[in-house]
Amino acid sequence: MESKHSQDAQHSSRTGQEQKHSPSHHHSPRQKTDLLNVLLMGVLVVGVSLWFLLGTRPTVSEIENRNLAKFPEFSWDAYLSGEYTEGIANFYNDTVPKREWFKNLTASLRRHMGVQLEDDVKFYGTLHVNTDSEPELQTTPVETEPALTTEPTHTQTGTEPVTTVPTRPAESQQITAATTVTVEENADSKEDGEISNNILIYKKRGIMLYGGSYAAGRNYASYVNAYKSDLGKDVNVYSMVIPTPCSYYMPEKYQYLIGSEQGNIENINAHLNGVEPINVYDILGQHTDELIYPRTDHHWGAIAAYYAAQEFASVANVPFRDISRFEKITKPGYVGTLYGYSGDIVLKDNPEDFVYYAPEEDYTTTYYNSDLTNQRNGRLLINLDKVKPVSWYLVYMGSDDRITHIQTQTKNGRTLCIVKDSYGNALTPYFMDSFEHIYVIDMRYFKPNAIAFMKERNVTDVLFAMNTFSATGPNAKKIEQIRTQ
Amino acid sequence: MDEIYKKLTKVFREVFDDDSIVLTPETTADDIEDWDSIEHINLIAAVEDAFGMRFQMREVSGMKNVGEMVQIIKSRI
Amino acid sequence: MVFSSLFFLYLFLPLCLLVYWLTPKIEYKNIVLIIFSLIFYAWGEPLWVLLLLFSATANYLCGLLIEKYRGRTGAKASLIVSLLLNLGMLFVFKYSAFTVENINALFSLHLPVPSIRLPIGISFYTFQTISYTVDCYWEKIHAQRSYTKFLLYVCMFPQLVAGPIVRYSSIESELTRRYASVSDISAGLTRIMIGLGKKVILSNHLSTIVDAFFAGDMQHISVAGTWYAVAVYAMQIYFDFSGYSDMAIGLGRLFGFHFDENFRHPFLCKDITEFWQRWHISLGTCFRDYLLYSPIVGKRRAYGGLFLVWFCTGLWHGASWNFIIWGLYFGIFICFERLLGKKRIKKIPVVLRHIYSKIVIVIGFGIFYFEQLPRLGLFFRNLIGLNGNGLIDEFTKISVANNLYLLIGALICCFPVLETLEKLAKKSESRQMAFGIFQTVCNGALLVFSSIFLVDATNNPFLYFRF
Repeated sequence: MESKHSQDAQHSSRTGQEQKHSPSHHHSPRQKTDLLNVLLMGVLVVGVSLWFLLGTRPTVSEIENRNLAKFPEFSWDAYLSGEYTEGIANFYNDTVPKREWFKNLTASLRRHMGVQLEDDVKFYGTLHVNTDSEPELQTTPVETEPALTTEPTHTQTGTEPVTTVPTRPAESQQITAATTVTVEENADSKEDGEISNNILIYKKRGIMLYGGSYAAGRNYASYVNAYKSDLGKDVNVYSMVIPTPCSYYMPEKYQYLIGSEQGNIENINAHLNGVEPINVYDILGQHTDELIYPRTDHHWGAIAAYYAAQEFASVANVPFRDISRFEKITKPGYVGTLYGYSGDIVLKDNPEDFVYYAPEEDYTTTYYNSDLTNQRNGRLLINLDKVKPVSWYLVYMGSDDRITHIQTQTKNGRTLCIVKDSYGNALTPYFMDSFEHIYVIDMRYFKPNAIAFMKERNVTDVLFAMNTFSATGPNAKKIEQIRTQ
Repeated sequence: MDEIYKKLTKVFREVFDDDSIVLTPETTADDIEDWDSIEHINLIAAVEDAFGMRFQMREVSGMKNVGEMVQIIKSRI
Repeated sequence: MVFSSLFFLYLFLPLCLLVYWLTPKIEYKNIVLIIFSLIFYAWGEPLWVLLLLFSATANYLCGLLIEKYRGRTGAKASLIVSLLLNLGMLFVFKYSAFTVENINALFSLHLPVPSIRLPIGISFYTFQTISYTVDCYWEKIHAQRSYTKFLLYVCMFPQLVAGPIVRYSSIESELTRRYASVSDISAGLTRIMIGLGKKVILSNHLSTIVDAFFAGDMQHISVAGTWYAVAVYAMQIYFDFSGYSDMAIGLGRLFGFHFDENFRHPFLCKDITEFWQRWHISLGTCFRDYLLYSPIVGKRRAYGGLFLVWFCTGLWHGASWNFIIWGLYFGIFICFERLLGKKRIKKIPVVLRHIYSKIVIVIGFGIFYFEQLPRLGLFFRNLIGLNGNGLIDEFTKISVANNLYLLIGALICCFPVLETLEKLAKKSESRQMAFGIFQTVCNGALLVFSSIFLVDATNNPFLYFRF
C-alpha cells in the first residue's frame, strides 16, 4: 500500500512551484531571503570560480615539500584509463591560488576542533603498534658464516677470509619471515622508511611514533654482516642505528603506543657478526637537555650528530676534532618537515632555531651524481640564504641524491665510507681530523655496486648510519640492493 | 459485494488482532495501525487463502486502498 | 569527478548552470543537461560511459516494447530481456569476482578470478532502469517515447553516481515540464551546502578518527576506544552518504527536479524497523516494492520475503561476505521485532528502545567496516574486552579531547536542527526573516569552510625535496 506521505510531499512541492507563477506584489520574508541567499551564493561561487580560473597557480608546496601537480599530457592511453581527466581535476585542485595560505588556515581550524589535554597532546595517524617489537623468547639460531667471530673488529683481528660470494645460510628463511613482516609494516604506503605518518604532538614537539620489528632488525643485521664478509678482515664495518625523539621525550603513559627503539637496537646488535655497533642511544640519553633533536623536524640536531660522531671516532680509534674548533651558526625561524607531515598549527606557530657547526675550511668536497658522473667541486655546507626554512637540514651537502667525497688534511691512511639515510648527513662535518678521505653514499639513490666502489677507493672503514625507522623499515632493503647490484 | 466486504473484514480483524476494524472502500494502510509493508505480506496471504485466489505481484504493492483490493478479488473469484 | 571537490564546485557546476539557464526551451535544456551529465560521468569513466549509454538505450527500447505488446507474451519477454541485461551487467561488473572466489573456495577449484573494476554508479543506474521497466510492465507508468527524456532520466548527473535511486514515476512530468523558481534555486543551494558541509567538514574529519583506531593493528585498542570509534564510524557513514544525497537533491532542485528524500534523521529511530524507514529510503522502497512480495516457493512468506530483501540489501552494498552478514544481521532484528509485535514494543520505555536501537546500529556498522572476517572477529572481541587492553586508554582520551567540538557538532547534526528552527520561525514574519538570513549566512560559512578544507584534499607531503 503506498503511503500517503510521499504523495503529499510531491503535492506540496508542486503547489510551491505554482505559487511562483502567480504575480505577487507583496514579497513574503521567505521570498526576500531566498533572493538574498541566491545572490550571496552566486556572488561567492562566481567570484571564487573566476579567481581560481584567472589567479596565478603555485607550482611548489613549501609545507608539503613537493612539486605540485602539473597539467597532464594527453594520450589516448591516458584518456581511456581515466588518468588524463583525473589529472586535469587533480591539477585544478592541487594548484589552487594561495594554496599555502589555505593549508595554514586548515591547520588552524583543525586545532580548534577540540581541546587539548595537558601538555598539549595531539595525535596524527593510525594506531599501529608492531607486535613484532616484543623480544623473542628463544633466539633463532643465527645463521653463521662459519668461522667468523663475533668479536668486535678494530683494525685486524682473526677472522677467516671469506669469499666475496655472499654467504648467508638460513637467510632464505629469514627473508621469507622478513617479507611477511615488512608487508605488514608497509600497510601505510606513505611511510618512507625514514618518517612515520604517526606523529604525536607533545609539548609543542612532533614525535614520530616508532613501531619497530625484531624480524626486520635481524634482516638489517644480516645485510650489514654481508658487507663485512665481502670486504674482509682488513676493513672495519660499523653499525650506527640512531634513535629518534620518541625514546627521550615520550611521557610514560604514551609509551605503549610505540615499539622500543632501545630494544630494537639491542636486538640488531645481538645479531651483528663482525660488525661493530656504535651505541648512540645511551650517549644521547646523557644530553637530552641540549638541542639534540629539533621540535618541528624529523631529523636530529647538529650537536647530537657531534656526540654520535665522537663516539664513533672513539670506537674506530681515530683522532677527533673538538667542538670548540667549529663555528656555531644559528638560524632562527625554523619550522621543519613535521609541520607538513602532521598539519598541526602548533608546530608552525612555535618555530625554533636551526643550529649547525661549520668546520674550518681545510678540506675539499667533490660531488658526483648518484651514478658517478658529473664530477664537480662544491661546498659541504651549502648557503642557506635562499633556502626555505623547511629544507634547512639540506645544509649538509644540499641533497641526498649524490655521492660525496671529502678530502681532508689528515694523513693516517684511513678512508671512511658512510652508508646512510638522511640522518647520516649531519655526521659529515665532524671527521676532518679523523679520516683522510670520507665518502658519503645514500643507500636509497646509490647506483654503482657498493662493494666495488669501496674496494676501488681502498676504504678502510664502513659506517652504516641511519635512524631506527630506516633500519627496521622498508629502506633497509636498499643496503642489500646496492651491495649486489 | 457485501459478502466480500464481510469476509474481508473478518480476515483483517484476524490478521491485525483487532475486532474494531471496519472497512470502507477508502480504507488505506494509514488507517489501520500495524498495517506496514511487512504485515502486508501476512494480510495478502490470508486474503488469498480466504478467497482462494492469487494476487499478482504488481497488485500486491500497487493497491491504493481496500476498494481496489475488493475489485481485484471480485474479478478473480 | 566528485561533488565534494573544488573542480566540481567552481568549474564544472557554474559552467553547467550558466549554459543551462541561458538555454531557452525545455527540450534544449534537457539536451544541455544530458551533455553535461555525460561529460561528468565520462570524466571518471571514459570507457564505461558507453556501458551507461548502452543500458539506457536498451532499457528505453524494452520499455517501448513492453508498452507495445501489453497483455501479450511480447511484453513479458521484453521485461525479461531488460532484467537479464541489467542484472547481468551488475553481476558481471560487481559480483563475478566474488562469485568465482566463493566457487573456488567451495569446490576447491582454481578458476581464474576476473579482476574487473566497478564502473561508478552502476549499482544506482541499473536499479533505476529496472524499476522503470518493471513499473512499465506493471502498468504503473507509460513508457517514455522520447529517447532524450529517457536518457536524461537515466544519466542525469545529480543522482547518477551516488543516488538516491529515483523512480521514474516521481519525475516523469518534470522531464517535460519543470521550472526552477528563485525559491527552488535557493532551496537547492541550501541543500547543496548542507550536504557539502556534512561531507567535507563532518564526515572527512570523523573518518580520520576512525582510521586512527581501525586502520592500524587493532591489538591495542581498549573497550571504550572500540565503541567510541565504531560509533564515530556510524556518524561518518551517515554524514557521507546523506551528505551526497543532500547534494544530489539540491542539485536536482537547481534544475527544477524534485527528488524524494533518502534520509530522515535515521538515528532518531526507536527500533530497527524504523531505522530502515529512515536510512537509504530509496533503496528500501525499491526492495519493498520489487522484492518483498515475491512469491517464494509458490506462496508469499513474510520471513522468506524478509530474508530475500535483507540478503540483497547487504549484497547491494558490496560484493563481500561482511556486507551480506550486515544485511542479514539487520534482517534478524527486524524479524525479532516483528515477532515481538508492535503492541508489546510500544510498552517498552522509549529510552530503552533508543538505547537498544543505537547499540544494534553501531555494532552493525562495525560489521560494515571490516571486510576481512578475521579483523571483524578482532573487532567483536575488542567490543567486549577479550583482548586484555582494558576499559579505556590514553589514546582514546587524546582522541576524544582533540576532537571534542567536532564530535559535539556531529551529534547535534544528527538531529533535525534546521527543520525545528524552521518550524519555530514560522510563527512570525520577523522570525522568518531572521531565519532566512541565518540560513543564508550559514550557507556562506559552509561554503567557505568546506572550500578551505577541500584545498587540503590533495595533501601528500613528500619527505625530501630535491633541488
